[in-house]
Amino acid sequence: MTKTFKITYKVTIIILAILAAMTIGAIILLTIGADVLKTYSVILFEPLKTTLQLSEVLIRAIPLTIIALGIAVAYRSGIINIGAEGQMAMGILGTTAIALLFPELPKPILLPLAILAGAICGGLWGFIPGILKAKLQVSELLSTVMLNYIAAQFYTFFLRGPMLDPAESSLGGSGTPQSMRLSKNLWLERLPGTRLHTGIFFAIILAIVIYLLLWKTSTGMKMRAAGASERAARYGGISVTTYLVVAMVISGAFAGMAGAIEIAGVHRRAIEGVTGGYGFSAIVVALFGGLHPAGIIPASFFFGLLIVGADMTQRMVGVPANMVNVLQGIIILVIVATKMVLADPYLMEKVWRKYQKITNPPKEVEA
Amino acid sequence: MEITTKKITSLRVEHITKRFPGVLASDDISLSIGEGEILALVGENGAGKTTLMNILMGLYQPDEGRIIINGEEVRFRSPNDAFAAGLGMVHQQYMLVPNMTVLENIALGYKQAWSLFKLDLAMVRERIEEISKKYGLHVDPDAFIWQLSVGEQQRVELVKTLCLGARFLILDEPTSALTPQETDELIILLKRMASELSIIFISHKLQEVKDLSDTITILRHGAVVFQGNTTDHSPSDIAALMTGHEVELPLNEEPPCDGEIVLNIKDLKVKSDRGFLALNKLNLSIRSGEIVGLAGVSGNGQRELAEAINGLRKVESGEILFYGEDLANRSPHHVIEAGMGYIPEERNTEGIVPSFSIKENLILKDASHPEFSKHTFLRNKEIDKNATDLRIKFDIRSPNISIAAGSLSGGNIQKVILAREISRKPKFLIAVYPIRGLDLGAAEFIHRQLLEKRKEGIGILLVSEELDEILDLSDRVAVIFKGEIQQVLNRKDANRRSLGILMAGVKDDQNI
Ligand SMILES: Nc1ncnc2c1ncn2[C@@H]1O[C@H](COP(=O)(O)OP(=O)(O)OP(=O)(O)O)[C@@H](O)[C@H]1O
Ligand SMILES: [Mg+2]
Repeated sequence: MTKTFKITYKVTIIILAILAAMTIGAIILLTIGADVLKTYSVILFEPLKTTLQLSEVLIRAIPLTIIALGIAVAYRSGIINIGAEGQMAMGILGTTAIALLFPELPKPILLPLAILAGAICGGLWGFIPGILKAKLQVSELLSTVMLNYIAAQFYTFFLRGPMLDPAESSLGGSGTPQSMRLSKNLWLERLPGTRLHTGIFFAIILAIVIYLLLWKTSTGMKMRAAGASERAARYGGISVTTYLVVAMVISGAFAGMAGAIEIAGVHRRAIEGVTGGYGFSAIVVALFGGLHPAGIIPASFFFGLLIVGADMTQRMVGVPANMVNVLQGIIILVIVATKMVLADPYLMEKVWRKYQKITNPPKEVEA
Repeated sequence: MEITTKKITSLRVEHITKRFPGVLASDDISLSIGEGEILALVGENGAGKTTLMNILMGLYQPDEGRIIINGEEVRFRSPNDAFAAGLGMVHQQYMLVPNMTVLENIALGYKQAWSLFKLDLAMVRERIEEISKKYGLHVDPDAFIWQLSVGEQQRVELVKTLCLGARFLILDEPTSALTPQETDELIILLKRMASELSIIFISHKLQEVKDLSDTITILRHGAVVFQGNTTDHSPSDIAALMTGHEVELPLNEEPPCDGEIVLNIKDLKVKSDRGFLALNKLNLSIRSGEIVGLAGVSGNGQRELAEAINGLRKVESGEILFYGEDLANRSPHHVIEAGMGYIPEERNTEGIVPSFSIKENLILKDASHPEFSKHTFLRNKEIDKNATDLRIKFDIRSPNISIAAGSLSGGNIQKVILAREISRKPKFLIAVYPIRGLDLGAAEFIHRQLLEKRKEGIGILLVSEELDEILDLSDRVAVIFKGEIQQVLNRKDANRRSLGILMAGVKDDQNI
């Protein structure tokens, strides 16, 4: 099989899939009487038109990438972490606490310390379901979801209580519970004129770290073995329960760091509702990206695009943002199906033989 | 497809070709089976036997060629189509749901018992009893699959296939997990059944092939290299045709061994999955440089013993002294570090991580070993070299070392496990059915390897139901029955008869 054929085959399938998704989406858009072409062009291209909008897409891709990396580690190790939303919230609390307590610390100390605090708080929130599963076989689906609620309550409590911006309580303020503006020493640099911050490098570095961890180290190999076949891993002397806990701690710490970066880079204060469903979207991003850093980065970008695009359609075409959620759902289904087709080597071989028969029939058959 | 109950009077496959990435698994295969005929399909590991049968059962689509039943071409898009046409297959790897009972597993395929809102389990139970009685195949309908030994699961598969009304049986290595008695019984049973149905039978044991089949087809590298009548050829002829050379299994002819005792098991009590005592005060000692064969009908505690030693099963009481250290209830990691090698019974689910590549599986136990990792970073060069060497040495048939181990043929999966366990330089080896599923040539090679290890001073506990294997290799033979060692015989006192009697639970020496 030639390389050109392989690439052409894959590209063709992807194009067919995109067409399929667009067709299904178009039918739905038509039923609500929307302008199909315009909606599409707004969702997919409008956010890319100006640097400002593009930067907004990237801003959303940063936490998605970081959280999805952690989820991929957990998933590969055999535990499904749907508690990233809560872990992220806990991370934000940790970061905020440090920044409020030591605002005077110089930047090279405060920033790493605050991110570390975020990682520790998120990691702790991942450790709990991990240890519960390892020791007591408590389903992580249950415990992580429950911990999301607990984290949300904590978050609300702290933002409305101890961490509430003094300006909010006395003067009424913005009406949204939030902390005061955090020390400048915590702020990440921004690209002038945009909100795009240096967290993007941090996300890329973490992606490389996770790639190395999972595929280039013995620890990663053991984690993957534990996730792929618990019984064989146990037989191989791999302590499945230990790696399960480790994986959950890493996963939680990543969500916590995503929270820290989001605060330090974008908002510069903790605000109620700032996690905004990133913890859940990141699950889809992780799966979508094939649980691999090289897939997660583009997947995050794509989802960032959809999030920003949804906002814009509402404003520009009057298609409700919910409708865009429906489109997202369709796209997810189509992509999952496409990935299965792409992963089928038999189908590819079949097409290859058909293709060969068509291009040079007599000689090939003999060989 | 309509469900028919018509007899299958002839089945032909013509010019079947099937390619997998990098492998030509079936290469223009044609064969035919008449009514009441038994065809034996033999060939080396990876020759393409299972693939051809999977094509017959609609699990794979052939790239070329056709299947003709009773003179009419058929096309099976799924196993359901094949069932409907009356074909039934017992697979090499069992296809049972582990956390369901025997009854439920059979009910899954037994469509007659299904109605819209109800599954008629009583009807399935009746059917199981009817088949059990008719063919003398005993199964406990309420046992969970995960509680059963491989041999018992095999029987469940056979009962299931018969319950579903197969009129053409395909058996992929049905005897590899059976005891000699069970094998004999199965052969008699199959012969009797041949009056009602046709059978394709895959086996690496040529004596069975000789006893049972009417015709033989030999595959090599996916192609038919020989077809003929069984009566015209002796087992050694067939072996020579199959491998291209004479095969002679090696014998342990060394004098009795006098090394020090390295594994000493004292009063070991271990529970089975079902909660009863699988090992009841078991005592056994093995010297360095000694092969002790553990003979016994499967399900008498062999699996539990192997798992307890390797830290995979809780020990209730007793000691497992290994070079003086008690291994009871230590972690699998600790046992491995202590120098224990273990070839497990379940190769697909325990011995390998199916989705991992061959090279990763070959270092499953040694990923952190300095040979293969440095500062926790994997040393890819060494890992590749290790895999390349072992692939050649153990003749693992695969397109390369990076493909998933789960896609290998049954025998080649076993070779991956053997390669890893033998090459890791263990101080002791627990080999559970080491040549199950291997072709003759590979079995010969493995036996030679085990004897070589013995010479190097390694103690080996050889668990097997094959009396020939045990008699060929062992210095001493221990017979296990209901979780206890019946008796330990020296090689010169052990023979098929004496072992057979002990294995059946008769202990009294006068009866021998
Ligand atoms: N699903 C699959 N994907 C890729 N390759 C496969 C697959 N199944 C089988 N093969 C390859 O096809 C070849 C034939 O395999 P097959 O299982 O038919 O051998 P076999 O004759 O049954 O061997 P054994 O005696 O070891 O069971 C092997 O090289 C194997 O690696
Ligand atoms: Mg096979």
